[in-house]
Amino acid sequence: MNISLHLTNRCNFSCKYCYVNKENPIDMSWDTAKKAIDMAVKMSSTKTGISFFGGEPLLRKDLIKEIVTYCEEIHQKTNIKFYYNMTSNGTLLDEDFLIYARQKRISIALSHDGIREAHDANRVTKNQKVSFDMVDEKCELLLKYNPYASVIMVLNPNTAEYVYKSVVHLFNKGFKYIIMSMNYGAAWDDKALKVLKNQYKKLSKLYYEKSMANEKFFLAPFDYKILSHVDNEKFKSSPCSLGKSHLTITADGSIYPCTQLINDENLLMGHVESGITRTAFYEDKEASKKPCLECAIKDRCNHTCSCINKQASGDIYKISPVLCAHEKMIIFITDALAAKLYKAKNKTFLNKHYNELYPFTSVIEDLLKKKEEKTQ
Amino acid sequence: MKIKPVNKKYRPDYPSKNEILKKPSFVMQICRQWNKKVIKASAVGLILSMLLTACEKEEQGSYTIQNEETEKFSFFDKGKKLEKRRKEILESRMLLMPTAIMQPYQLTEEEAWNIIERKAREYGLEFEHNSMTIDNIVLELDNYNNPEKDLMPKEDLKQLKESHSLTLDGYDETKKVGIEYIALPTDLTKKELNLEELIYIYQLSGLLNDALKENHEDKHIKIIIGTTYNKKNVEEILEKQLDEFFTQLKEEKIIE
Repeated sequence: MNISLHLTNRCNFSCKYCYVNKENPIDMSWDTAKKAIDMAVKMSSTKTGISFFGGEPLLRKDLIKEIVTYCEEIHQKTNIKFYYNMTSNGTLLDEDFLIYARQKRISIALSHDGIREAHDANRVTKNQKVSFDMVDEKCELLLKYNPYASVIMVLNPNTAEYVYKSVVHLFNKGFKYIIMSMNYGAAWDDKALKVLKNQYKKLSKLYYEKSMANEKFFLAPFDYKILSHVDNEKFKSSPCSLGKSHLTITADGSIYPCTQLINDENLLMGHVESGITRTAFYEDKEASKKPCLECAIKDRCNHTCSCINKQASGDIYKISPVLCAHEKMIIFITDALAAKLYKAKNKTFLNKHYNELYPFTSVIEDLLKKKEEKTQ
Repeated sequence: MKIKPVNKKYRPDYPSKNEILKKPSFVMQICRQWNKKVIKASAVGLILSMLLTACEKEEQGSYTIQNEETEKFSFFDKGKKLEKRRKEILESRMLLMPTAIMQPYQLTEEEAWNIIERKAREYGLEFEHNSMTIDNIVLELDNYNNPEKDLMPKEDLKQLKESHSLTLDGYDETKKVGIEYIALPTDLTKKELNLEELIYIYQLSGLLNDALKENHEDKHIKIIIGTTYNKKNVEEILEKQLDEFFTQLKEEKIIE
């Protein structure tokens, strides 16, 4: 079982697309956190994943440390393994915490929308000040302690024209894992999607060039979409598992099936005090996906993702035309790219997508390379 | 904007993991590549066992599926059929290329020859370049029991069954010692490939060595297939292969 803990709904940022309700500031208490972990452990057999979420989770470094210590105690007693990750705007990252995160193996994903024009258009501080410089200067520090840190870039219609330049900027900063995430809640129209399509095409060229130069990187959604074909059996067998393998606990202890659904009282599953009172959420309602039944890419598409549906159409079962248009666009571009790399028998591409041990072997390769560089 | 399904016939032009695992030669290519890199033998062993088990299980079905698809397309029109067949031949060749996925560096014929000549001199051999041509080489394909044979385009199989001539890169007439270095073919789109190109793609140096031993007992010829990785690495590999061959000849008192 994986859980996301909204350690606080406070944030030093006020991003225009943020879905967290910050009207009544609440911090998660130690008691709530402990109960949430106990609940997750009860539902886990061998491992538990914990995501530190917010608001800005680094406002609660104290609680993060308490939680990790508690999990270590549980591990001693039960042998259950814990995996941690967090998403942060990065402004509160400091050397001490990064050393701690490295010791405790907390993966950190930085929210950064790329070049100044894209970032500052939506990511502003609580006082409505632009935040590009504040975040951008933290990249080096983060990557120094966590070279595999990922960066999450939110795609919005008002910044679609900067997507390519933003990805290049983040690659140049040293990130190897870049995740572009569509804000389906935004007002996407044909014009904005067309702009995005051109940006994806440029990125496809960049992806090809980087692969041919045998550079190691991960660029979502490109890599996810290639995997959705290459490893289709796995991909289609794991559609949205709303409330089944992942739970979200808000700062007050309420339980929801997904981080993006925490504002919908109708989707409340229970409370850490009283436990889970409602389980069956998502059913594979074929009827609700009728237009998709005949679609060749239905097993590779995100139309079964409840939170995307909710974001885009207001209903966890209702598929949005924007989602449909975007999925087709990215899958076609990605497939053309992958076919080209496959025909070129590109080593990086083949390893990344066909070799299950690649993440492991790649890390060994990097370590040995580093060692070699040091000796030289 | 409306929700519009993608036509059911749409299919990406690259294989899924399941499809690729049904082609054992491809799995071998990837494994060979890792082997030459930094990955420890244990990891390679694990990968091999995982992947090859998968191959064993599904090998049979895949070829049948491919044939069925070919047949389905065949009656639409002749042009399409020929184009598809050409594509299949090319793909089969590419898939069977043992080193095709590790392109970073490969020795040119000239670079390889320089190394061969230098190494031969170290062992007291006087190699002359392209001075010896061996005719009437017939490969014993019945001894080639690799499953890759089933994937081989008919054209290539037919070509392999014929009698061939081979001009050696270096040959010492006095000691009757020769070396042939086979480099990565540059054009796989040709309908008819020559012996060296076929030997490289299907990794048949063993068969060629056997054929030479059988019919040219008086000569001591080594066929070396070029590897691709980084420059230092390929040079070292070639030097090592030459050292092994010449040392063996020394032990057999063929050279001093």
